[in-house]
Amino acid sequence: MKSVAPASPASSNATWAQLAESGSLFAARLMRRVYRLLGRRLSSGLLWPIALYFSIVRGDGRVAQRRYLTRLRVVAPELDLPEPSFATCLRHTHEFSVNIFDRMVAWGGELDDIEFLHRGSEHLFSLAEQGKGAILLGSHLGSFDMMRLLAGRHGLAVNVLMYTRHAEQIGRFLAQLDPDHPVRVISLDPSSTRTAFEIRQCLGRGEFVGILGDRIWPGDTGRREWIPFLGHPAPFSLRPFLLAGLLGAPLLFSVCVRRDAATYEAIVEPLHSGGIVPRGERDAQARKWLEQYVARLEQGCRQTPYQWFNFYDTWHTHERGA
Amino acid sequence: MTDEALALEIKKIIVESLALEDIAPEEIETAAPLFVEGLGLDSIDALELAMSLEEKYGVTVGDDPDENQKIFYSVESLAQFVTVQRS
Repeated sequence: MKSVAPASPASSNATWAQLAESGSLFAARLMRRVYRLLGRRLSSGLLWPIALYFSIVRGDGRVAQRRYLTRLRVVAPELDLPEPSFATCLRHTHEFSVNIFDRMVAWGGELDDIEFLHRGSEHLFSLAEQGKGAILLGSHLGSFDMMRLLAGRHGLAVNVLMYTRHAEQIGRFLAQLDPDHPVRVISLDPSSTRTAFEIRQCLGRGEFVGILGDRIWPGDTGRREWIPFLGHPAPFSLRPFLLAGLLGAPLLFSVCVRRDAATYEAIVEPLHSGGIVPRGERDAQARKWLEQYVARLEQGCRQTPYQWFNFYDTWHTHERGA
Repeated sequence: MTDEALALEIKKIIVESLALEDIAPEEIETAAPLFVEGLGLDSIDALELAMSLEEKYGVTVGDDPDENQKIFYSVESLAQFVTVQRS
């Protein structure tokens, strides 16, 4: 019998990153005002003291942050990363602040202030032209939200799957901040039969569904696979990959990373061009796609080491030990 | 087909399409909840089951999540749904 996902209380891993992800309306509006007043250069200078503040005050994400930086350093000696210290963590946190800052700028409608490079976006456009939906496999690498905004600007409908507890909060926050471009949220509710049907509905309308594949939601222990990531096995959910095989939806690895002061690169790489996978082969195929996804994610971490913002116990050390 | 025969057929479809290895169709209670607290099935199972039923009976499972929650509650509710759609 399949394992039952217990209805767990909010995870104790509710890190500052989650708080920052949900954000605060006041801070967002303040940032936007400062941005308009001072311009990009000056206002982004203010992010260092903010990052410093977070590095000192919000200590609970730091363990996860250090573990990530340490593991990356060990598997990628060619990067010559320094040993994790307060300074490297500060740099990482600063990069996260820039990420949030740019998101606020983009939400405020100043997407034109940010330059975008494209690699593989044509896959998205060609699917959209054919009226075909797809599953976009995102992650906490770079900014999936930037990807969503960019796709939206090109007229593509992107729905984002979010854990229920965050969905309402984030949805409300974004609606207040950017009323013209409401985020389309599909709520992930492990205790209900609805999520997969909602995804089918969106894909059926020829829309895109964004899923962040590098986070297991609190209490969700079903359909996990332990895949080596930065040298240690970590649990990942098979669900997005099983759905792609079941519904025959194309599957695309999608990421948007910062390349330069105000330049982002949107990268889209197909993992599956579409087509239903026969039942008997579905589990094995899903696992293959998941492995490709994790390998691609790891490659991204090597390319932009300070842009993976998963301040969370990725390797579930509480289950397996460090 | 009698209600009982249809219920048993649906139980067989559940076991087959979801590859439930440790369970015989007869062991599934007709009125018991199937998902989460029952057999511990999740929403992907529900979708997979919906697609099997669509194929076998030519029914159409809609995309209204609340409606689906009711249809997929138990074998009994599934049988009712199939009966109504086929009549």
